[in-house]
Amino acid sequence: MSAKKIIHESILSNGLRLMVKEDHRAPVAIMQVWYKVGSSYEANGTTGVSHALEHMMFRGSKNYSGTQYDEIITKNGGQNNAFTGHDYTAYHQFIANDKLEICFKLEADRMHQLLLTEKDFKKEISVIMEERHMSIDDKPEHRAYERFMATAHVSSPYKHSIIGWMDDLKHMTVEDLRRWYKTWYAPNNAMIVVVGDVSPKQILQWTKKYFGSLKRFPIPVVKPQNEVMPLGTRCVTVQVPAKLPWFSLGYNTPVLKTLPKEKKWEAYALSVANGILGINNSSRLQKNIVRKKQIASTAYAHYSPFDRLDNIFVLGLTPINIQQVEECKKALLQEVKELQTNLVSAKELERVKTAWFASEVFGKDSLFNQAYEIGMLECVGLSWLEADRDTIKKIQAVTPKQIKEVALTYLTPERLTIGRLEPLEIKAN
Amino acid sequence: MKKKLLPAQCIVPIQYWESKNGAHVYLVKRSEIPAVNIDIFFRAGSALDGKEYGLSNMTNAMLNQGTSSYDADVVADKFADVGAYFRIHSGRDSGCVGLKCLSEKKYFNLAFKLFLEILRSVNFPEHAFKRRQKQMLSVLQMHEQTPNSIARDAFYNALYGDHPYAHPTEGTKNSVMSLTREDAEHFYKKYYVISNATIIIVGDISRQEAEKRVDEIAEQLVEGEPAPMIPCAISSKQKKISHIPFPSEQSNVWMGHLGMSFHDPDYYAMQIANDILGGASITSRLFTKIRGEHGLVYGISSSFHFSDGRGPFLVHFATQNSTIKKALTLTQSILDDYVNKGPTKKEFELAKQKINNEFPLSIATNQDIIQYLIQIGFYKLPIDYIDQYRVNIAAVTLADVKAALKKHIRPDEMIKIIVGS
Repeated sequence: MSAKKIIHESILSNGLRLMVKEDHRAPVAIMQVWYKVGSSYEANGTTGVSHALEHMMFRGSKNYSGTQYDEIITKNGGQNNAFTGHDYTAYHQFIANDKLEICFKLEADRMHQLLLTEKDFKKEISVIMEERHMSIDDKPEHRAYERFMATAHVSSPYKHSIIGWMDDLKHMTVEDLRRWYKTWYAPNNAMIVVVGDVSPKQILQWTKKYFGSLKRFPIPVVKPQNEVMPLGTRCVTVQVPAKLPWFSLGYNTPVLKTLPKEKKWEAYALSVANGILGINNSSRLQKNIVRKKQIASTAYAHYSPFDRLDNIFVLGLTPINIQQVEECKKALLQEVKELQTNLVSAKELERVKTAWFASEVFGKDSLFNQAYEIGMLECVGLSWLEADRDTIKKIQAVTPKQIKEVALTYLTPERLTIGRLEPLEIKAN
Repeated sequence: MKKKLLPAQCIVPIQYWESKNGAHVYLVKRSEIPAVNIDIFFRAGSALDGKEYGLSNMTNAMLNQGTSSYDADVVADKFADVGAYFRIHSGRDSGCVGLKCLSEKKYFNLAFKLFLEILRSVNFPEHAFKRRQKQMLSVLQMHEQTPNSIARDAFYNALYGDHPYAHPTEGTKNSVMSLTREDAEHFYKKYYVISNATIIIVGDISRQEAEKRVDEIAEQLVEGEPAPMIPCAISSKQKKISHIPFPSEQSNVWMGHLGMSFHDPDYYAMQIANDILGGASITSRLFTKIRGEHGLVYGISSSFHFSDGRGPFLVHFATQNSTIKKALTLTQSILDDYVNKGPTKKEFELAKQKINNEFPLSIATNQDIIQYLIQIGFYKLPIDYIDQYRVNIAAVTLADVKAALKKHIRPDEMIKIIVGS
């Protein structure tokens, strides 16, 4: 592997953090501004407020109207957008390195001078409802997934989807957003990540110039909101007009952040266990269920060790037809049992580790990914070192015995949620 | 027109050569990341399906399903052993087979060996073919439950009529079920041949090494013949509105007409023209009006799709059922007004500045370079396309754009498909 690139880290006196990583392949840079707030910070009744505020960040500040803002970015050939997660809201600008300074000016401006007018909000909330329709309501498998997650999480704020429930969107007010903005958009709750063909010194200078005068203010103490202990298997069935069934198992599992020091290895072992089942075309779900049993047309497995709160270890299938749903359930449970009974072979384990290593290397092609890794880890309360150094080492260290152990501890009936979609006939109304 | 560019003047130095038996090879060496991509594009897309809709797609989907020595599981394991991705995909014009791999010898050599084995002896096992057919039905069912896919398929069908772009690349339930493994094997032998190949290599690999690898690829494949060119679609000029009822929250709209060729003299003028109308820009007319001012959609865009047989120009959006009339009326009036009067001087200047300034972003990653090489290699754009792009954009005048607009966007000739309730 090429030499590790160093990250230049600084912090301003107002608490704003800065991370810069050099990548000189092309005369471009990506700037991301991360705020430590996302859908898991929201209370029921105002779900979706983080994402709604993200939209309104493009509707103008006291110094630049939304149109002026768009024009400046456009004129400079920048590509800008934003995304909201459970644990963060982030804004990004991808731009030629000689045009980067203007982004600092604009981002500093909207960190403390956002307009948030009633009139703009009315239009934007309607855009957001269209986004919800498009991304969830009109996609049967996404509707099923949303209800599945709402069932698998009991007390955790990961229960609702990032975009929020439709009823909450309908009753959201611009005042909700103003409150959210005033509560969380502080320099001491934000972080700038820059990756690209830049000089770290210059970036620090711009950061000080544009963000240095912003005032810090106290951020609320975030409650732990630990998930309650699951007490048994939950089932959820979603019946909507569709052609294809959908089936998933989800287990409540801890993550790196929530595990005590001596048990941190469990998060890596769970990652590898998940990889054994579904990291690529050679994994067990593909081999045993899609290719051998042929009862599902697609399979996937997901577990992220990098969340702020306990999350779900998910195994999912697209059953080939509705008659095969029970077989799919049996087959997935059989795969879990296998992990709990027999040790994974050295060869199979090596494949997952190699896949992990390779995807780290391939991931370095994208500036966005490099910045994302840094920002995301810092926002969930981990360190960027996690991405750059530790993960690969810790993944390499996982043993077959550890995989069996975490499977026995966490992939249990008490922790299980079973979700399915039963298609109803599609009738035009 | 022989323009020899010195490497020092090149923004992206592309090396081109022709292999034994006539494959076109394009190489860009970028060694900062220890990885390499090798992609082979064949003229083997669904436009060559004939009446066997979905054949090209099924053929492509079988390429990771077994060789004369290994079954699908072993193929998957062997690539996984070295962390390599075996990439297959197909579209209307092309079928692609590629390898994305770490460049270190201990990984690359094993992955490349298997890659060659597949090219030489992929053998379309009967049981795997049956399995793929069932999976393909699942894909088709997924389309049937997704209003946007229904609209897309209906749009292509209405726009292309008898042209081979009319049917979905995945085929239909009946057509897919009537295919046989022999059909796929035959399709492979006919079109996955070296004289029909464009090879694109980007990453941590030397010219010498690349040449050697290309020779090895050429040895596995039969020489064959280049596929026939896809006929240019002919506009029916028939205005058509079709509404397909579906129980969804939103109505999905696909509207447009036949577009232009990459080689059209108005290509650069229309890059600017479309950027202002509804390209990726946040300042485009469609986006600022229909999303910004009226809040009717999450996304709306206009685009030209370039392909061998003339791709479409299309406008695409979705809005809740109750606002569909309003959104359609607004879109139509924006199109009419824009084509009539053209962009303002300010819009024109802004778009030119934008395209010029954002250019470096488009060559930032290896993946970006691959995208360019597909256009240059497969669609035969000039080899200095990247280097001359900004020069060509700068040469366009406002009068050029106004004239080109009237020719290439024709609001009265649009086919409109609406799926919703």
